[in-house]
Amino acid sequence: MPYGEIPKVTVSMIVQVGNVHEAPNENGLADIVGRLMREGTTTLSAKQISEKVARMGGSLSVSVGPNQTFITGSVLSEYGPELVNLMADVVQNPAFPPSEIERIKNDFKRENNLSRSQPGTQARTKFTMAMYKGHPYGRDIPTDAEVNAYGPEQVRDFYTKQFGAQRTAVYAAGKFDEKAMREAVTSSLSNWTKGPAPRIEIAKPITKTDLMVQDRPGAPQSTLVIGLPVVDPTHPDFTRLRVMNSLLGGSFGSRITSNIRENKGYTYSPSSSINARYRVGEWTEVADVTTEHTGNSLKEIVYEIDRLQKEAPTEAELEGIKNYEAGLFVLRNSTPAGIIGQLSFLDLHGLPDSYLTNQVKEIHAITPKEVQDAAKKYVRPDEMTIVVVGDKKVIEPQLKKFQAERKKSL
Amino acid sequence: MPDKNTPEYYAMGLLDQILLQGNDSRLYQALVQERGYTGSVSGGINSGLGNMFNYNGPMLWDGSLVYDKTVSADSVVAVLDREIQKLDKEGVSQELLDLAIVKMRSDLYDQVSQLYGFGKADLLATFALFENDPKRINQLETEFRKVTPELMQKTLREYLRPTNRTILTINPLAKS
Repeated sequence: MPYGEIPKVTVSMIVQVGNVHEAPNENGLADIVGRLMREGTTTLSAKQISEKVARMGGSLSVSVGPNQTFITGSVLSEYGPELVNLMADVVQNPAFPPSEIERIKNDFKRENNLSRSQPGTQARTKFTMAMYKGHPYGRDIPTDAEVNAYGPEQVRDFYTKQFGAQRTAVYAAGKFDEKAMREAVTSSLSNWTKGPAPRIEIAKPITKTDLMVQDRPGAPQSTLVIGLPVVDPTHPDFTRLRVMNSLLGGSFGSRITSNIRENKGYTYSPSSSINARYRVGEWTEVADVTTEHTGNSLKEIVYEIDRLQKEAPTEAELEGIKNYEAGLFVLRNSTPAGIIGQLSFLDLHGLPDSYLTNQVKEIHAITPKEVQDAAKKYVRPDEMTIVVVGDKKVIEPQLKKFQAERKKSL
Repeated sequence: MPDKNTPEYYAMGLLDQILLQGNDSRLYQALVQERGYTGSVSGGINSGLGNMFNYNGPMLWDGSLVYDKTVSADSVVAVLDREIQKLDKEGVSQELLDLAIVKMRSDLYDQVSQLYGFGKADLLATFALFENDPKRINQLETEFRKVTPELMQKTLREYLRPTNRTILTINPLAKS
């Protein structure tokens, strides 16, 4: 996709292999494989790859997500085809050098241990583990013992079983010579093994009224996650759900944020969002709130949901949100990486181009009643899973009070 | 950092590229690739706040990393010293300088396109405010190209001396 005036090009080779493809005894193996792909090919060492990319004025990284592995590079435009050749080498001919495995495992363990110590990660992990129990989306952060178990054979085996041309799409955005780039992609990748067909096991998320507390003695703040499964981008309600979310808690001027941040001062950066996974998704509100107002924060969040369910927003309020969402859509398409993100979103979810081309029109067509209906249908407070990481002895009475009052009001 | 807009200032921008920016950088190679002390090194000039252009007054060049408990802070600092000494001893070749300029040029394009184009507005505003000359945005590449291997070595010796630096270590397990 030609874009912009800056003489750089971004290329992504996105392979549909992620943590979702890991067997129960392979937790985190996709990350190790992805990281090791950057550590050398059968003909180039990691250092040589780094030097080559630097000479092109760019960078090359491999990252692994829940559903996909992203090999992404960005270089000065004149080096676009050369970058494609290098990336094709990385994706097709990884050496998985045994000399680097221990170091990469150690880096991964260090990062995991760091994120395990953060209350935000603890809360989110606990939440997804409950919601996606029994599915790879619901796995814990890999332990040191799990990571220690992976050797060169498992790495090679996972790569061979999962990677291949059928699961891979190549994207380029920015300024580039289209013909030369197309030729580079074709010549460098056309002999790659076909590999397995794309396949993601669809999760069965669990909707369950639950309140879980993880103790963090003496914590000045509580980290809250409250939410439930909702529909994914292929569902006709998805755009309505998204606009509703922006109005409820997903934007800076949204109701929940205005309430617990601006009016009450319980928290600094609360936010609700829809996490679109493959054929499933969840709505969550996440906030770090002051310990003394943990119960009150939950009460206000639920109050705002109830209010939207009972009464449609005014045209004026919704108009502001629609303009915000439509504006965001334009901004999302305003960088090479953003454009690639949009296109790969279509590919992952199997959506038609019209999902993008009609999006602004569809956003503007949404009525206040539809927003109210979406809140009623999808954001049901009494079916939500709540996770709180905080000072248990201080917050437990608050949480009991919140639950008792909620019960009484029904 | 050397005073803004001096020849040494531009040389320091290129030393940052050689030492700290990208996976080919000396410190990434030494600390991550060769020794595995950490998974990444980050930092730069005015890092975390802006870039090497949008500030006025004194400024730091900084770098940071998270390393394992099994590694001592001294061995991290020893690697830093060794890499700086190596660069001093071997000198900066024209080839290395050219590489740093390519990386800098690419970085400049990234800065210009940052935040959907606000990066360009920010640079124009910065040069208008601090130098009364928004057109400076067009001269940056020329300024970097004026840097010679000799100037690189002079700047390295003057500014990257151990006595010029402050080291902060955060140890979560230390007893207070």
